Amino acid sequence: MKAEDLVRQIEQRLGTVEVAPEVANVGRVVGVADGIVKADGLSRAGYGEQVEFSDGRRGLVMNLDEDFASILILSEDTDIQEGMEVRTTSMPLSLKVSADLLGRVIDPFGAPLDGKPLNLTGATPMPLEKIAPGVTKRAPVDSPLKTGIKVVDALTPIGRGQRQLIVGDRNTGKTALVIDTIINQRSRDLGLPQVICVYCAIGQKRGTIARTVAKLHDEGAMDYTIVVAASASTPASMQYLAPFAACAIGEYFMERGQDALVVYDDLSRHAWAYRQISLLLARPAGREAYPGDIFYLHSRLLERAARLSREGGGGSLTALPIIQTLASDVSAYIPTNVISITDGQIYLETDLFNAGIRPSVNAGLSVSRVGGKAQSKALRQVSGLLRLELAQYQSLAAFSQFGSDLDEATQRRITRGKRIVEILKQRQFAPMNDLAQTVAIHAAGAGLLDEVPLEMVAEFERRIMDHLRTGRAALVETLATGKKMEDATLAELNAAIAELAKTLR
Amino acid sequence: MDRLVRLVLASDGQVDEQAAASVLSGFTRAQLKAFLAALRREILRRKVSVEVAGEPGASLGAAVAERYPGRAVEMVRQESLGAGVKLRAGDDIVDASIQGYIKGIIEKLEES
Repeated sequence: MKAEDLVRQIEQRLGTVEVAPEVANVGRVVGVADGIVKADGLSRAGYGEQVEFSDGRRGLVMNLDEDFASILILSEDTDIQEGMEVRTTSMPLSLKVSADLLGRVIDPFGAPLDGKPLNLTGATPMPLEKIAPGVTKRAPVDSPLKTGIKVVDALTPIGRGQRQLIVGDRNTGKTALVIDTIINQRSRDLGLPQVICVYCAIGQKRGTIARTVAKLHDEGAMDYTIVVAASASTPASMQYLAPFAACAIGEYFMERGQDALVVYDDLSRHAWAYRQISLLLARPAGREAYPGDIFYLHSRLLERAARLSREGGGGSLTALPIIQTLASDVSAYIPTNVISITDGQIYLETDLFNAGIRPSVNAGLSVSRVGGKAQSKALRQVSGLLRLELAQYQSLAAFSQFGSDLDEATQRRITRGKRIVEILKQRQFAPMNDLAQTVAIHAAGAGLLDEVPLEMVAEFERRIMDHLRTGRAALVETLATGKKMEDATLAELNAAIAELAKTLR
Repeated sequence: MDRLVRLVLASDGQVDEQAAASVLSGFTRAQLKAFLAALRREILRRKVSVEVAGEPGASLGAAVAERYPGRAVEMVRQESLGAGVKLRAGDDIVDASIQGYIKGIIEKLEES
């Protein structure tokens, strides 16, 4: 073939337009009520498929009945009229994600809520509903996700890829705990890779969300954080989809080999939104009027948290769902569901909170089923007996009012227990690194603070790191590796702690 | 309800008057409403409407009748399509017109 012939062939090809016919399945709106549209037709619509109304608004197929499909309206304005055409899209609900979302506040469909324009470059559409990674694609959870909170990192450590529930009554510090965890990711403790955080606010007041975002901004945490918000004033459909959108964003980073953390604040309100939708769809109501698939709703969401194998890219998605209990009832329907789904729970108690023990973590009821493997060796070494000491103290605490009438061993146990409780207290927005946590917990747990007055324990904690850095730089360097402490290292640390403790007696 | 509609409406489009009378007299308002919706669906299902820009050719009618056997084919001239055809069979729509093509391009541009 001559070059001219090839040119002619290309010109011919470019001179024709291939118009592939657009095939659609349509229906007609026959009724609208409470954010739910009933449409007939749509004979090829699938469950969970995205549909489009003739005015461009979107909906989600929630029920397929014999005569009509029930569609959830996915917008705040509901100006949909009877007779309007609705067509299938053959597309699942998805959200465009790229690293440009970092630092932004968005709604569950990716629209910005912070008043700034959003231009995503190289965005990937991520489906809101996705099958969780299979067994062969997963690796064991083996690296820590440091919260910076002593009591959590020592007693209920969280690993990257874990699902750890935070449960408690209102005003017990649940959100404070997760915000501290997000803030702590800035320090990249133990030299671990950066964690991308996604904070999902469900059914919260707009003012509360604004306060949280402002705090994250002030602490410099928005550089690696995305906030997905569906406030209390948004339709139930937005609140229902918000955690799935947050999870999809987390998966985007996980699939690129990064570590992501998704906080669902909170899944109780998410369950309320889903209950509302299900009742409006006339689905049969079960216990506490929740639909029969409420367990599956949360299990399929939380199952998407994973630590991927090296072949799968090695990324991770850690989930921190929050559940609010009423009158400390952890045996209610939703708390028991989510407790059984997750890999452990941090239980926050009103009585402890009111007694000034903050974070108000109940060490007896809190547990981490996989996190122990993801703790630094040094911290594991010093916190091993902490739970036992604490449990023994709590069982003896009632006798402490008898004072000197108690035998010496009991008195010693109570004295130590009090100091352990004191050392585990921590101010909000003041996360600690692994090194400081190890030193403080070792000091209290090993009884090195038994002689220090209780009111001076906080002062000891404030001064110990500076004390160690002055003249014991080599020791600090050894401890900072997070490796198991040798006898010589322990002896030197004990001597340094005792030296400071002596000055505080 | 769909089965009942097929009892009333024969495959040739003729209504069984006795069956229709018993529906009209025996049904409650709600049942009648559901029957009407099913009847509309059935009428739509049995018909193929084809919109075409320009004079519809005989070959187009034959091709549609072959693709949808047993259905009444209704041809409508629709110049706003520009060129091509738009076909509706039941709740399926196949749009192979220039108008649809341009609309699709505009939607894609708006999305990007």
